[in-house]
Amino acid sequence: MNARPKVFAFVILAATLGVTRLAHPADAYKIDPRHTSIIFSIGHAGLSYTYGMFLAARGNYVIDEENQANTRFDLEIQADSLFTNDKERDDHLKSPDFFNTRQYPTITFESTSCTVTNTVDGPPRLHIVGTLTMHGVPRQIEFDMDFLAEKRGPRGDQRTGFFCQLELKRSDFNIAKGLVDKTSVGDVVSVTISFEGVRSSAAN
Amino acid sequence: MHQSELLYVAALPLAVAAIVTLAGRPLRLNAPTAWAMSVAFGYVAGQLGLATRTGDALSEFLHPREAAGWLPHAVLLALCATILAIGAPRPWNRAGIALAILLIIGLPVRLLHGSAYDLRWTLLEKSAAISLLAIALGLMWLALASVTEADHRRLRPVLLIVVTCIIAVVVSLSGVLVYGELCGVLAAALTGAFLASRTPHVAASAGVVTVSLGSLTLLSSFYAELTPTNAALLITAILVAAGPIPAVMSPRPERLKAALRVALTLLPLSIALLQTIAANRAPAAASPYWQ
Repeated sequence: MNARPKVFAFVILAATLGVTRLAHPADAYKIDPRHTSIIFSIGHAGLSYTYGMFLAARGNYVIDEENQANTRFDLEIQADSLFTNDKERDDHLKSPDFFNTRQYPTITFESTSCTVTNTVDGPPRLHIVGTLTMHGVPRQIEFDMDFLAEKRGPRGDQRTGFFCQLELKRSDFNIAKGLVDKTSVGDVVSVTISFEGVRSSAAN
Repeated sequence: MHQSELLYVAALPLAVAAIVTLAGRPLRLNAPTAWAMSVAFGYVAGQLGLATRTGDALSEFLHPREAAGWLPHAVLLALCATILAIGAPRPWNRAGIALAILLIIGLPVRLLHGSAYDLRWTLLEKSAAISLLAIALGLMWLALASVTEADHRRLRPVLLIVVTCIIAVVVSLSGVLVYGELCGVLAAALTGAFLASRTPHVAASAGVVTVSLGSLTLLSSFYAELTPTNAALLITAILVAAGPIPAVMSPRPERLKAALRVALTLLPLSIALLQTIAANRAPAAASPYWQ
């Protein structure tokens, strides 16, 4: 029997599977600002911690289960939306003494690599590496982020949710560096972020 | 204020300005040039000294990030323009004037570049704002440079130092300490030049004062909470302190002219200072939760 048709069929099948694999879409999500919380805390004179948050943020992310290299997260925060429940302090934090929000209106994060590490107990965890640009200073940061859930929202939209905690040093971003010593305002800032995203389309 | 800040805000610029003034004599620099150089170098030294708090003053100077980081460059360019305009033969003195014009147009563009205003304004609004700011800086430079040096030769630098110190306080109370410190640096540089100089030449430092003090007022208005009214009052005080006397006043006795200059300088300063203090003392909005 002539084997050529079998070989030909096998090649066609393999190519089809390959094309199918290459064409498997990653999922693109748009961050839901109403279900995004960005909270920070910083030490005050060794007496207490002051908590604050950024009230306005937006972003997008892509999750590609087949190819982690395509997974990415982009976040943009309005620096002027800083809120610590004290207007005088908020105005000072927004001034050139600290965040200089009128010169640097946005804080941005762009991931450069995302690696999924599945935990035995608990939600899958992503190790994110990316560039955080704050106060005009870009810095590479790394942190772990928990994937909390994937569900349909009340309106039938497909949603995923995430949670992460990280620590930054304000001096790394030249925020009040030298102006305020570390005993009066701590250098280490603890940041907690949790957000949901709504799937918008299959990413290219 | 910490000791290191006193050193950089006061002692360093004062010392550098005085040294440059004294060094100008054996070098046979003409007095206006020496004055302009001492104020400019004193200011630059003070601002770079403050930048050492972050540990990378040279990097800050070579690659400024914040708007105020461009002021040392602007001050040195203003110094070049001044030296060319007053000391160089033709046609180099015209080059100094051209450099001054480029500087007062480019400075607002640089200081507001990339800011929230740059993102928000339309092209027409940007053009209008830059034009107005350039005209204001240009008029300030012209007014301060056009004064006859013999008019209140010793009074004008003293008044200018007082005005700069009060501006430092007003700017600091308007929510930005770093700009207040830089105003203090300029006041110290002016003081160093005045103490070491036999004959002050305030008009020769018109460009340096306009670029530094004018820019700090501009920055405090756009990036902090200095109100437009207070900014206008502070600029008025600078012009009255160091600028020309109106022609109608010229025939008056010298003491009367001096007294009027002092009074008209302190008036807008006092109003701006009192308004700023009052705004800071205003009680915080009552909490809706506690009655």
